[in-house]
Amino acid sequence: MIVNVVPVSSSISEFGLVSCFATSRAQGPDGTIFAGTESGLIQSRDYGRSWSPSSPGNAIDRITAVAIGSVSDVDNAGSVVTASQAGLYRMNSQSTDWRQLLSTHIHSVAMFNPTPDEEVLLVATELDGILRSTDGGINWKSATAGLLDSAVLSLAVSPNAASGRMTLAGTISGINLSRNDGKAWRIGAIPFDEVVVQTVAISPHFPLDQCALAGTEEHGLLETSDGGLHWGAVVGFEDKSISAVTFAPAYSLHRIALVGSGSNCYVRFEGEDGWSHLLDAGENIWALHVLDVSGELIVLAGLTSGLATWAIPLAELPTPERTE
Amino acid sequence: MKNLPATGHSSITSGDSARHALVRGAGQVARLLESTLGPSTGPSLVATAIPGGPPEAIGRGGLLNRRMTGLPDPFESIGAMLVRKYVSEMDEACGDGTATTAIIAFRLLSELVRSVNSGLDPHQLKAQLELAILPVIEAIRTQSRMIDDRNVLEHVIAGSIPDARIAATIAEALDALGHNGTIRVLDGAQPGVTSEYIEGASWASRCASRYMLPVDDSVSRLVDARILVSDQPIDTVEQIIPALEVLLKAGERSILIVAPAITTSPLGLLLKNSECQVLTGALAVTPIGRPDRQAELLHDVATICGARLISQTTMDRIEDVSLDDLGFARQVWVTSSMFGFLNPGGESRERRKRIRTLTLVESALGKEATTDRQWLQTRIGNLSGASAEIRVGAATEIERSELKRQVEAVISTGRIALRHGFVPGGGRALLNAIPATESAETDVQHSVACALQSALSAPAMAIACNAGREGTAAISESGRQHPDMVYDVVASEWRDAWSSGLLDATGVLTSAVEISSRLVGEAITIDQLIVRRSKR
Repeated sequence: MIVNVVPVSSSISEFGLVSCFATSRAQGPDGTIFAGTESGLIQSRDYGRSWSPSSPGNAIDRITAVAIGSVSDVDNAGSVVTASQAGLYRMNSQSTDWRQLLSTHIHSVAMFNPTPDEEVLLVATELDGILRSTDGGINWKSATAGLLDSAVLSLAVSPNAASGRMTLAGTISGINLSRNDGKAWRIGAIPFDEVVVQTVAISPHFPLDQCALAGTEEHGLLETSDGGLHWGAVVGFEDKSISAVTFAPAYSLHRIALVGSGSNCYVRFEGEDGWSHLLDAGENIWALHVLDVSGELIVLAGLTSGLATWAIPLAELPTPERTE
Repeated sequence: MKNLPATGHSSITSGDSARHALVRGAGQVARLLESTLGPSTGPSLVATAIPGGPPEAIGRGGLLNRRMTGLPDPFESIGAMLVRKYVSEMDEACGDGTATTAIIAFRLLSELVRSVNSGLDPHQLKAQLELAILPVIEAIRTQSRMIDDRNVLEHVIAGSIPDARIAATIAEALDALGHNGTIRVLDGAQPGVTSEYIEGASWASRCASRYMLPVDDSVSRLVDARILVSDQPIDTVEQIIPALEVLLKAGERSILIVAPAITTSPLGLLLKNSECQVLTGALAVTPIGRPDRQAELLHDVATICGARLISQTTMDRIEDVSLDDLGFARQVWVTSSMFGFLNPGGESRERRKRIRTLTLVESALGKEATTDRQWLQTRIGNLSGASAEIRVGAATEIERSELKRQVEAVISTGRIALRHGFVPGGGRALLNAIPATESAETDVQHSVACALQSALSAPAMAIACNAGREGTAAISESGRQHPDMVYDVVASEWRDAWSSGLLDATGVLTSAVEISSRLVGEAITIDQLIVRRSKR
């Protein structure tokens, strides 16, 4: 299927490499999108058309991950957490400066609320596996029970469901999953002896479809449809390096998922057998993010020299017949 | 045949009389256990371990049978002991299904003894029974579904442990670690059940010198430590000097030595170098365990920390060790009885390979190899770094040991369920397997098929009776329901097993059928019972 992709704005290059995205309010009209860049955290309030530095105080450079509390957002007395090779930082909406919580090389961060009163922070570190905090980052406990590796590269958290929440961790040798909010981990079965998992993403529809994707360094794209217990290699991506994977927020409707490999972005729609080439960004894609905005899908791509934004009109996509 | 006269200090009975005595004895145990089937609300039986002694609250079947010492009739007692033996085997293998095993066995035995009375050969019946249970077990397995869901697990566990919080704690630990995870059940200081996930890997060991532990005998730790693993005893300082030189040359100053024995002179060298701060830390441990398992254990230690096992079998010498032969861990800890690693440096590829191999070995083990299975599970848990401790506390010692036994049993059941899946509960899966018995041409085949049909319906009937329903009517009503529908005796309605969580572990039911048929095979071929009278 050929999809009409429209550039929304010209590429923004003043902030350098863009490695991650997070949205404070995924579907809201005033939602803030954050992007972690080489020169600090930047934000956009117009769906990626324009960007500005987010913190007036000290800047944290070479950001590797950004996360926002899933219940309260940054515009509403919540907080934003960023990670870099130098540590983990947090800023509440009342403050104007970053407070350092950890000083270790961090690859990824996940923040979620198991209950309305409880917040869990998980960080994937280069040397110490996964660290876990339940008091906003003041105290940390090692959460490596069941992890085979000390170097954890990526984290993803599923939406909450009656059977609990699932957390995925991509490590330098495979994938682990946790079903008790990151306290202990099980090994996901992969079709290789070991594989470097650079990025993971969980379907927004996870409680029903149990689906997740994992991008590897040398063995292409892996997919699970049983909640992360067993993973299979996706045909067409063999031997490719996958640096970004994401699901569209309206995944339950159109089943849209995006993958970044080199400078190319691939897409999968409902009803399509496999993945199709969506666009060539012209330079390496390091992060992908999708917003569902008034009849359009806005695709944000974090690139080596900045970021680019495209729009896909939803009207052009096939509307699946669904009984869910 | 009648009881033969006592010869000296022995009484003997044989033939029909012997088999009837066995049936009566087995029946007494089965009837006792029958009352424990169905939703439990607490200890369901009271018995005394010592004749005339105080009554003890006893929960489920396995314990009852371990404690039961005899029946007034010595020949019937043999039947009861036979059931006890197999039920204990069931308890050790699965932690559940003891009552189901006893009930199936009793019904099978009584039906087949009747066939023997009518002139059929017990050995032919035994052989046919061994054949006939195969399609039954297959029919149970075909109903099985793999469900990896904490809520379902919790529901199944709650059937054995009525306290919902305890069931939730155990279900979470099992769900978090999977069937390969190691869960140790320990005594807790406070009443209740708590769980804690254990990081890294650990083994039982002796610290080679008490001077390596702090004055309060607690924990010694090394940070960013190198690890030497050898299956050779270390007797002389000359053996370890090269390793220390290699270490210091690389700018590292922290070492753990794991070896079967370390004598005082090399220990003295390690302590002296620590004291003079040539080394920032030096510890030595000797792993504890069965001698025949020592090599495997050391191999696991080496794999986990990335060391090369300096082994006698490959003619390695400790003196020739290089830096690459030493393992690494971000943290090493040693107590007087254990040692372990946090964030060990072994290659994940090697650990994954070893986990896969051990998992295959474990799945090939027979049901009776409980000790070997536990050993393999501990090793897999260590290799995957996935283990948890569940602490069980109670107001009294008896209460604690009973609760601990229940917790161990449900962990075993939960693990079997995670590995082999679930089938509809309440005896429904056994009822659904009855059509698999329906192909009989000879009298022997017909007798065995009838016996199996009666035995497979017995657990469902017992559950119905325990709930105050008429057993036969309940069975005929179930025949009109969909095979997935189970009668919920608490809600007094038919419910879908899969959506309501009224499930049994597949492995438990297949084991119950298998073990009870072995019991019956042994019992019906017995021709003589001899009771020796003890001299008092």
